[in-house]
Amino acid sequence: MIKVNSLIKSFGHPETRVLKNLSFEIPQGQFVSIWGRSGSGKTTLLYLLSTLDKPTSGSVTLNNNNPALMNEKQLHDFRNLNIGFIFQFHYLLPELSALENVLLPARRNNLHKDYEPRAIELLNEVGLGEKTSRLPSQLSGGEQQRVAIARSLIMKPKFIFADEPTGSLDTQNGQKVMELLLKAHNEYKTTVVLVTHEKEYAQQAERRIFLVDGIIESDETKG
Amino acid sequence: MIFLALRHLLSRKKQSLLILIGIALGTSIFIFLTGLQLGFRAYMIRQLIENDGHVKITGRDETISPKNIENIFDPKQKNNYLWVTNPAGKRNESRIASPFDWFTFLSQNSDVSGFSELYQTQVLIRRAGVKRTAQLVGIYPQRHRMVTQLESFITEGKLADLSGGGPLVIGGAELLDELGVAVGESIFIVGLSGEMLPHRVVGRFSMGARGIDNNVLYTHISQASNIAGAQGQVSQIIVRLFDVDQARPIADQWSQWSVDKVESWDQANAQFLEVTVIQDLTRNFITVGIVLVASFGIYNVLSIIVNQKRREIAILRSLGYQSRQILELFLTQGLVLGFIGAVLGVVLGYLISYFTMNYLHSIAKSQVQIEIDPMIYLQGILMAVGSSLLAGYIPARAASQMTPIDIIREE
Repeated sequence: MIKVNSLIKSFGHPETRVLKNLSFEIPQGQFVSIWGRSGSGKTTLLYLLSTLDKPTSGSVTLNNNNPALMNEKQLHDFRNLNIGFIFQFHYLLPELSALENVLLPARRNNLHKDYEPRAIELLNEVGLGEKTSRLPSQLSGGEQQRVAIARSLIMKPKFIFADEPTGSLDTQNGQKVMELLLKAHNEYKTTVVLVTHEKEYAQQAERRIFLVDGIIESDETKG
Repeated sequence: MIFLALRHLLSRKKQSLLILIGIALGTSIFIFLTGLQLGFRAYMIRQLIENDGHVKITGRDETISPKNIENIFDPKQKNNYLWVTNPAGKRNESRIASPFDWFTFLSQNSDVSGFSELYQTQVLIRRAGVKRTAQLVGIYPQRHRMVTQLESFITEGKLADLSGGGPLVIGGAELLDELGVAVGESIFIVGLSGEMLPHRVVGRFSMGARGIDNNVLYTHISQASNIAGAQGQVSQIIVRLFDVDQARPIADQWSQWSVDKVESWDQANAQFLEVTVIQDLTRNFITVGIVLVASFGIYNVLSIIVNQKRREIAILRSLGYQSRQILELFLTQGLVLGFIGAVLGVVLGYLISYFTMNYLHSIAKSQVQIEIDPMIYLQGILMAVGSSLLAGYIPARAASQMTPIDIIREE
C-alpha cells in the first residue's frame, strides 16, 4: 500500500508550490492513473511516490517504508527489489541488447544468470522473443518501450511507476503498451501508478486521480 | 561492473583506442628512456670501476702551510725560529709515500681481492714528423689484468706481451692512428736527457673514452720508471675489493691513517655521479610530464563520456544501482584503459629498447646497454594504471554524485 500524507512539494526561490497538501492511499494491487494537463504536478507526484524525489513536507510510505528516512543503500535495495520504472523515453542502455537491458536490475546483485529464463519469458510475453539480442537502435520506439516494460517486471516488483509510457508512441503502439501494463497488473497483482495526460489511457485504469494545479480535482474508482 | 564498463568502452572504439595509444606511447617512452639512461649510467660506472679499480691510492694533494712544515723542526726549538714569509702553495705529490707498506697491508687485508701498482708520467712521443705528448702508464701486466678490464679493450695484441721486457708499448687506438703507427712498428719516446728511445708497439686498445684512447700508452712499470728516472717509485695503486659496495667506507677508513690520498671509485668520479643526479631529475620530470599528459587525456575523455551517459546513469540509479557502483563503473573504465595501455606500452617499450640496443651493438658498435630491468617495467605499469585511476576518479565521482531526479529534470 502507498500512503500519502499532507504531501507538499515546492521548488525555487521565490518558492513555487507544485503539490499542495495531498493525502490519499493506494491499496496494494490497484492500477491507478494520475492524469492532468501539463504543469498540473502529476510527474512531480510520481517521482515522490516512486522514491526518486523527496517531499518538501509531508510523507510518502510504501508498504510502511518511508524512503525519506532510508540511507542510500537501503533506498537503492528497496528500489531494486520493489519498484519497476517505465519512462516516456524508454531509457534503455544503447550498448546492451534487449535481453541484457531487461537483466540490468538483476545484474546489480550479480543475479543475471538466475534471472535469464525469466527475462526471456518476459520478452516473449511482450512479443520480442525473436529480438532478444537486438540493440535498442535496431528496435522501433514501441519495441523499445516494451523492452522497458519487461525490464520493470524482471524483479517481480510490488510497484510499477510509469511516467507517460505512451507519450512518444503512436496510438497503436501506445495501446499495446497499455495492454501489457494491464496484463502485468492482472498477472502479478502489481500496484501500477500510471502518469498520463491522455484521457483515453487514464480511463483504462481501475482508479483515476485527476490533478489540477497540484490539487486532486477528482478521484474516481471504477465501479 | 566490469561487464558494463567493457560495454561502455567497446561502444566507443575510436575514443578508447586513442586513449590506449596515448597511454601505451607514454609508458613505452618512459620504459625506453629510463632503460637507456640507467643502461648508460651502469655502463659508465662499470667502465669507471673496471678501469680504475674499486679504490685508488695516490700521492696526497696538500695545501702548504707553516703547520705542515714545522714538524720537521725540533719541537723544543719552536720559539727560536720565525717565518719571514709564510710558506704557501699546493704540494701535488705524484708518488705514494711508502708503497711497500701498502703492499704488505693490502696483501694481508681480507677485503682486498687484488691490487696492482703503476707508475705514470707525461712523455713526449715522436713518430716521423709527428710530435706530441702522451701519458705513459707503467704496469705489471699480470697484476693489472687481475684488477682492471684493460685486457678486454685490447683489440690487437695481448696485455701479457708487455711482460716480455724491453721497450714495448700498447697504445690507445686514436693515439696510434694519429701517429700513423701500426702494431709491430715503432715510435720514439723522448727520455729525460732528450735521447730518443725506440719502443715497439705490441698492441692497441679502444675503451670508447676519447680522453684515454687518444692519450695513453701502457708499458711495463720498470720501463716507465726508467724513462722518468724514478726507479722504485709508485704513483698509484689500484685496489680491487671483494665487495664493490664497501669501497667508500673502506677508502674513508684507510684515508684516516694514511698520508696518501685514498679514494673510492665514486669519490674519484664525484663530478660524473653528480651528472647522474641531474639525469635522474630530468627523467623524473619527463615521467611527471608523461603522467600528466596521459592523465589529462583520460580525464578529458572520461568527463565527456560521463556527460554523454547522464541518462544511463539516471536509469542505473533508478534501477537501484548505488553511487558506489556508478563510481566503480567509470573507475573500472579508467583502470581497464590504464592496464591495457600499460601492457601495450610495456611490449612496445621492450621492442624499442631491444631494436635500439641491437642497432647500438651491431651498427654503432657501442657497448652501451639499455636496462631491461623488471623494476622499470613494473614502474611503467604502476605509473600508467595509477595515472588512469587518478584521472578517472574525478569524472567517476562526479557521475556517482548525480541523482536520477536531477538528470531526469534536466532532460
